[in-house]
Amino acid sequence: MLRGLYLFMVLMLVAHADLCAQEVGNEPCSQRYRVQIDVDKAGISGICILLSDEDEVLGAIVNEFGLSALSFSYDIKRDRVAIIDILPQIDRWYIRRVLRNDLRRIVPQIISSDDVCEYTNERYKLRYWFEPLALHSSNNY
Amino acid sequence: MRKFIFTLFITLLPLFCMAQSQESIIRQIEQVGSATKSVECSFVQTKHVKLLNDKMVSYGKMYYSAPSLLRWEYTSPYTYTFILNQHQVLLKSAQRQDVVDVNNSKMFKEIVRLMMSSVVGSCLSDDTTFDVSIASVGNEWVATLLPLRRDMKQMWSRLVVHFNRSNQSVVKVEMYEPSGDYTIIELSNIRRNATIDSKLFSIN
Repeated sequence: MLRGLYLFMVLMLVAHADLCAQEVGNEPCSQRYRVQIDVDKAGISGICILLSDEDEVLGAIVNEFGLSALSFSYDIKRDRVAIIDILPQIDRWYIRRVLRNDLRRIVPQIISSDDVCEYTNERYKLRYWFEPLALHSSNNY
Repeated sequence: MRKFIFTLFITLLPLFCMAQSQESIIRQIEQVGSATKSVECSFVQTKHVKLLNDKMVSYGKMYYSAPSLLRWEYTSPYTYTFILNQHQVLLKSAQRQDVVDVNNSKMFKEIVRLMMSSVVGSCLSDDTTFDVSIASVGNEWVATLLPLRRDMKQMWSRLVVHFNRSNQSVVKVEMYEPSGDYTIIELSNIRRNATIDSKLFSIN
């Protein structure tokens, strides 16, 4: 499983992300964060784009060269993450499970803060790091 | 019978001409590519995310020196550098940097091969990897590359490479993913065969 996660890291390559810390009125808010995910001696960086409203957070993690690695939704009221799309090369049930559980812990932290957010999955020694880049409204590219 | 053969010939003749025309276009592009010693340019990369109905715009610079030196650097809104020097790849972000030996990673090796062949246009004759068709559109040749291999199909449904007809330079690359997301990279301020400081490709 760890090897699968390592492969996930290698395949993702890199980008940077913004995260949505708060909504702008009732309009969905789009934010971006720089992402760094480390496991053992390997690590990758990327971009996470989040679109959030009062019920749901939609997220996408992309790599530097424009390849989408992962998209997900977080239901705020039910506190549940669904993986919507994932790179086929890393589409394994155990990777999905780890990502669902980790994102369920990370995303609430991110949307309630406009600072750097970190989370460590102690079992698999996965370290997540999100740094806000900018705050965008959904119609402002 | 003669009438049938003549009709068949007339019907197939345009296809024959088109096939030759595509071959000659590819040959032209490859000739220029093989004569290219270096390329330096700026780029704008726009990533369209279908799920979020949103896009992410990044800016950067690219440097290439034949045969196997490449620097792809993002400068805004974040900094990130990818350097290929022979068989080593440097990935450098604000948080960390890693050096990968492409010979130890089949996937990296493939990505690097694809990047390098796209820069000089040699991807057009890679008939084991892509099914290529070329069309003339205005002052461009537009090559559509459909992946043939399963691993490539998983990442991209198609690639579209735009060449400037007057100098055979790559000016735009479109990468479409099976999910509906796509990325457009537009190159500008392209300088060919200028001297490039070798320090730009340093891994150390």
